[in-house]
Amino acid sequence: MSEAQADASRQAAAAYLRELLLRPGRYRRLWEQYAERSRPGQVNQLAIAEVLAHHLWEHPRTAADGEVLARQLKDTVLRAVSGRLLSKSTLTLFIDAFGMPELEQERLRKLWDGSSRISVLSGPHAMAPEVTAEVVAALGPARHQTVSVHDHHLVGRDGLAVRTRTLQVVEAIADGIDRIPYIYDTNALTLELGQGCKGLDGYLQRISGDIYKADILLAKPLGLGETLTLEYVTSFHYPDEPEEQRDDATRQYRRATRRRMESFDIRVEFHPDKLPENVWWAIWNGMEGEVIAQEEADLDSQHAAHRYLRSIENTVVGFHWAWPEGPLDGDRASS
Amino acid sequence: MTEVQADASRQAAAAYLRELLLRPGRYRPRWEQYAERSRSGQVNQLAVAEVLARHLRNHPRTAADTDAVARQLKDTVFRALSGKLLSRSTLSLFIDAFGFPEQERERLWKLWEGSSRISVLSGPRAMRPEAAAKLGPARHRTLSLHDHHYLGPDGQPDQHRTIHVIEAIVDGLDRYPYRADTNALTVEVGQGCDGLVGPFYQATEDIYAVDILLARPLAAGETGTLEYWTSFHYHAAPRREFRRIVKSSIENLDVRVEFHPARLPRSVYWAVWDGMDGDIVQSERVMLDSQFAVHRYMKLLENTAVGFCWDWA
Repeated sequence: MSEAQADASRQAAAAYLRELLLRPGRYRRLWEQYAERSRPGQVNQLAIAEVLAHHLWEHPRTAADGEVLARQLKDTVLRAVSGRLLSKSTLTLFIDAFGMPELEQERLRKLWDGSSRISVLSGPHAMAPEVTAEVVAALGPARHQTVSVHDHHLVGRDGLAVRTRTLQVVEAIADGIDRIPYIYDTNALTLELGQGCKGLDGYLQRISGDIYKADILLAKPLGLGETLTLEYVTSFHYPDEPEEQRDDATRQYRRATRRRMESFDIRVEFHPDKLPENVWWAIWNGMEGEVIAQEEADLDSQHAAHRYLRSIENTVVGFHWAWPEGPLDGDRASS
Repeated sequence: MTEVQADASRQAAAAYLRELLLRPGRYRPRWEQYAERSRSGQVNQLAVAEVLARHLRNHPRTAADTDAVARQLKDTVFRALSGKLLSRSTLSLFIDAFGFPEQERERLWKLWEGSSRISVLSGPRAMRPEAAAKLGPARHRTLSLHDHHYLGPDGQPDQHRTIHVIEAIVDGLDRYPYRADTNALTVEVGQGCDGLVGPFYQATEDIYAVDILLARPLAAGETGTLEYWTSFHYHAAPRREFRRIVKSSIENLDVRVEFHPARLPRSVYWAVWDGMDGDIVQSERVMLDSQFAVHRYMKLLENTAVGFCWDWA
C-alpha cells in the first residue's frame, strides 16, 4: 500500500469513527455525559478524552495509564478524529473505551487496513452542506424510501459511459405517492422509462449547481407502506473530445445518496475492446470530495466489477478506473 | 385483526427477529460470546437468554429482574423465536437487550402489529423433507431476487426474467443451481453468468435443474449479480400461477407478473401455498397497475412458497 493509500485508509477510518461518535446512541451518550456543551455535528474532544482516560484508569496498558488525565489525551483525540494521525493503538483504545461491538470493530479495522468487504456503509457525507440545503429545499421531505436498487453501468468501446440501467424497489412512506424524484449530476442524458414508470413529469430542471431533477410518474399511486418496482435506463451524451482531455468523471461511476438505501447492487461492465488497467471500489468524501477509501476490484469473465451492500446512507460510493497508457485499444483494433 | 392474522404477524416478527440474530454482524456476536457451541443457521437459545438476563439485571423492570438468570428465560426465548408466543413485552426486551437501531425496531413493531406491508414470511413449508434432502445443502444464500414473469397474448407464460444477487457461503463457488418444476423451458444467461453446464437433469421427482456457471468463482462472503431469462414451452396449459419456492431463506424478494393487454385476468391474488405441491393457505386479492402488472416485495422469506395466481375473464 502506498503512503497515499495508507493516508486514505486512516482518513476513512477516522471519518467512520467520527460518524459513530456523532450518531445518536450509545457512543454519543458516553462522551456527552462529560461534555459541558455539545454542538450539533461536532464531537467534544475533551469529553471523548475523558472517556478514554476513564477506560485507561480501569484497564491500564502501562503504569502511567493509571493516572492519565483527559487533557493529556485531548491532542490524541483531535488527531485521531480529524484523520491527521490515527495509529493502530489509538484506534484500539477508542474501540475498547467505547465498547464497540464486533461489527464496528471489524469495519473500523478493515477501513484502517485499507481493505474491506463492508456491507453496510454510512459515510461522512454525500454532498456539501450548502448543496444539501438546496437539494432538501427542492425535494421537500422524503415521501418514499428505496428498499432495493441495482445500478448496472456499461462503458463503451470509446471508454465513455453508454448507459446505466437501474432497477429500484421503492416503498411509500406517505399516502398517495404518484412520483419519485430522479436526480442526476448532469442533464446531458436521456432517460428511458420501463416497468413501473408511467412517464416523466417535465424535463430535468437544475435544483442546485450541477444537480438536476425530474419526477418519474409511477404506474400506480402507492398507499403508505406499498411498494413498486421501477426500471429505467439512463443514456449519456458526451462532447466529442480526445481522451486525454476528458475529466476524471468519465473514469468513474458513483452513487451519491443522502438517505438510506437498502440492498444496493452496483455493477460496471467494460467493453472487451477497451479494458481498464485498474479498477477500484471507492468511497468519496462527498460528491465534490476526494476518494477517502478504496480497494482494487477484479473484473469477471464479462469484464465487469460488482459490489453489493446491505445499505448505504449519506455517502458517495462506486468504482473508478485507469486506462492503460498509449493509444486507444479501440483505435488499434480498427487500424 | 383476526386471531389468524395476529398469529401471522407474530410469526413474521419472530422470523425477522431470528434473522437479525443469525445474520453475521452486530447482534450475533452478542449472544455467541455466551454460546458453548454454535450451529450454522441456528440460534443458541441459552446464549440469547444470557443476553436478556444480563440486560434485565442491569435494567430491571421488576424487583425479581435483578436476580434473573438465563435458564429462567430459555423458554421465553424458545417461544419467541419459534413464533409460538412473542408478546409485546418479550419483543420489547429483545429490542432493548440487543440494542436494535430505530429502523430495525420500527420494522419489528410493524411486523408484530401486522401493519407492515413489507412482509416477512416464515413457512408453513417449501417442499417435502425428502425432496429438500435430495437437493443437498445450500452453497449460497440469496440477498436479493427479482422474479419478473411475463404472460403472452394467449395467457401462457411467455418469459421470466430473474435478477439475482447471491452470496457464497463456501469458498470457490463457481456455479448456481437453477431449479424449476418443469423441463419444458429454455434458460438464457446474461450478466454474471458464464454459461450452462450441460442439459437439464432431474434433481428430484418434481424438480429439474441445470447449473449456471458464474462469471467468476466466489470466495465465502463474496457476492455476484446474475441475470437470466427463462422461456417456456408447455405442451399443456400450466397452472394459472407463478409460485416461488423458498427452500431455506431469501432476502429482498420482488415478484412481478405482467399480463398481456390482449389477455387480462378477471382477478389476481397474492398467495401463500403449503409448499410447492400444496394448496393455497392464504390469499389476498390485488389490483393490476397501469401496465397490467401486479407486484409484491418481501423483506425476508423462509421455508415457504409464495406468488400470484389468477382467474381468466
